[in-house]
Amino acid sequence: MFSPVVFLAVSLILFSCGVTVVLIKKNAIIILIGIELMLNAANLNLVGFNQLYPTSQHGQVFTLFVIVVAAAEAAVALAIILKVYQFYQTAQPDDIHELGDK
Amino acid sequence: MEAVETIHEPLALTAILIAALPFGAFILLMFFSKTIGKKLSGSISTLFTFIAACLSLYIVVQAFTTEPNIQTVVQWFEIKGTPYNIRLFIDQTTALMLFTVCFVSTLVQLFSQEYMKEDEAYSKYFAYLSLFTFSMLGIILTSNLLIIYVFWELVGLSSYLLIGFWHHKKSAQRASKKAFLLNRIGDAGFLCGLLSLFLLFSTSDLQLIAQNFQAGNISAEHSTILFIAGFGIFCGAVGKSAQLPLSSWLPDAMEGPTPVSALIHAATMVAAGVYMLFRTSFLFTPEVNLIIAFTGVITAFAAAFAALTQTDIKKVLAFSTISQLGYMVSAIGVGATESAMFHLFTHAFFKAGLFLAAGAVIHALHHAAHESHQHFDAQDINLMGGLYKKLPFTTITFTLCGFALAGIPLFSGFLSKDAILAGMLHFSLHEQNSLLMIIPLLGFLTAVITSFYTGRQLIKVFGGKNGWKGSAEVWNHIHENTIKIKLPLAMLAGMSLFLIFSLNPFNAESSWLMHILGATPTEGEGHLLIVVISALLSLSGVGVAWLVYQKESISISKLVSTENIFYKLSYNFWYLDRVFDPGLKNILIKTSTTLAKFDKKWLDKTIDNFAIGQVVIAHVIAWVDRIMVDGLIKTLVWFTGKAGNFSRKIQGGKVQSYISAALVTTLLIALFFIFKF
Repeated sequence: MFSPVVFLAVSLILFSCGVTVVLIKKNAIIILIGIELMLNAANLNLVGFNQLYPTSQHGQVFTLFVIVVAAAEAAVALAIILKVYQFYQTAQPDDIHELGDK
Repeated sequence: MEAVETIHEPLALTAILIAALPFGAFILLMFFSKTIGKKLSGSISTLFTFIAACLSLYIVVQAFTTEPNIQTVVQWFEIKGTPYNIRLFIDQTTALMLFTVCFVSTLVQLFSQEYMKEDEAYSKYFAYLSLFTFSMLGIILTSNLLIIYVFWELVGLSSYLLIGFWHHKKSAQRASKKAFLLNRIGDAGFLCGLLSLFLLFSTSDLQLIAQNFQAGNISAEHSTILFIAGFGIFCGAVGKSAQLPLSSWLPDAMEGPTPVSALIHAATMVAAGVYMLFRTSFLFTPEVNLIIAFTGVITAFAAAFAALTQTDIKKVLAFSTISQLGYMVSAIGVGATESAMFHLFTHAFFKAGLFLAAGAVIHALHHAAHESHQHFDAQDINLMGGLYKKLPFTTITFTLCGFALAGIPLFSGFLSKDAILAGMLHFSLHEQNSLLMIIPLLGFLTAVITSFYTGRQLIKVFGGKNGWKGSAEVWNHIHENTIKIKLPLAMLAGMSLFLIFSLNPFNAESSWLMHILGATPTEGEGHLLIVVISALLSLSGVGVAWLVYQKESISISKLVSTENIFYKLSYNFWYLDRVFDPGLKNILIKTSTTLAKFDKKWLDKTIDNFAIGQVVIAHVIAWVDRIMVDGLIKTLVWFTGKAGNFSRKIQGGKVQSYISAALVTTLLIALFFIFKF
């Protein structure tokens, strides 16, 4: 069994990667991947902290729940991205600025 | 306006109608000449004036039989409760003046119908003539000096219009301008006189002024103002009646059509000055009277002298008018006012007759020249001669009127001139001052000269040893004028006879006119002498002229050549024009150039510098405005803009910047909680 610190460290790295990807990448799909990364970092956190309370299974279950919701969310997000692509002929959020100034 | 006080209303209304008729004709011809048409316009104007003449004859009859003074007072306006009244006043003299003006004007218009027949501006000409008559009637009828002044100026205006009637001629333009300007000089004096009278009597009504004056309400300390008033009115008369030094407009006024000259010289314009002097003569102080007497008699002599050498048929008459007016003015000065008016009446008829006869000659010669296709000066008496064969009727009328001018016994001019000479002599004998003898002496001298130049003109135009001096072709085409020209001539020549004015051909004092005018019989001892002297003088003048020009037994060209200084003085009217141009003109130009220089150097400089200072200050203020005030505002604007741009970028539509902002904020909040607790 790994200690929770290892979990936290991996989770930190993973979250940081996710944030970085979200902030830096231009493509909406890659941003979506970044978001997934951050979600999974949170999952890792949940699992890691659950180690401190071996009798309780709440963390594990919550993680599973999050995975399910993330799958649904990914589906919705992908659908949105597809629709946006169809409408604007691009999947890059920077190019979509109809409400901003030119 | 309502009548305040009226004596004999129907007659007063008639008098107003007399003045209104020519004015009506003027309005009709001026504004409706297109609908009336050329042919009718002359007849309308003549008819209107003729009706006015008939009405004025009625007034004369009434004035002599029943109503010796007709007047009506009308309130014009009110200042602070003081009414300003206009008085219409007619006594017997006024009535006679009315009749003379209307009568002469009617005849002149009748004459003009023929004379101006071929002129393009025919109806405008008659409109002006009517205006002229109207203005003159206005002067005669009203007794308020201010209103008289208005009409006085109207007379000036209409004379300007008529003298310059042939305005395509440069000389006519100049003459009309000259007449207008010289009259303005006199009128300025008249205005001063009018205002001084108003200052003294606080009214401009001549009747009231006379009443106040005779009541002796004027103390000695006012004599200066009285002098100014009298002198000012005299100045006006000097301008209008062409006395020295303002006389040179009258000979130039010959540029107008000849009938106009007849009207100006006989009844309207120049008579206005003498009439005005007559009406105001009670005001004149002895000094003013002396000035008037001398000016008049010197003018009479100077103009008669100038008439000796003129070669233009009209110019001779023009100078004779100035000379006769000099007589009248001088007579007013010596106190023989009624003689002056008497001469004014007789002169009106014979001078109108002379001018119309001269016009008839010019007209006939013009036609002859036109028919024979030759060009020559139809007014040069050196070219004429022997015309009595071709124009017998004109010759007779011209001679009759000319004899009246020369003062030949049995003619009207003799009576009136004799009365004036008697007045002059009486005045100078009475005053016991030998210097004053100049007045009657010049008067008698002028009488000789007058008869001489009248004889000269008569012989040069109608007689002469050699007869006609022009070409034979023209001679064959000369023929007598039509009835429209003959009728006025006949009437005016008839009026030049003694019988019209007095039954006794040798004594003016038996004249009915003199009685009306208020002459008091002078002591009779010297009078017969004057009658004899003046009769002899005038006859000798004509006789010498007969010897010189008809018999040619005295060669005038040997005695006085055209290079002679006296000849030149006479021909150029004592070089009076030189006084104005270049004399007065140069002085005026020099003065105004100096003034202009002063203006430029000092006044303009000051104003310029002031303006420059203003501009400099304005620039400084503008700089402060631009840099300080505008700078502050601009900085504010710049700052606001920058702030706006900055804050706008935060919500600039970049999803990732939102996220990073949210992240940073979250981190900050997290840090805040971590380190605070």
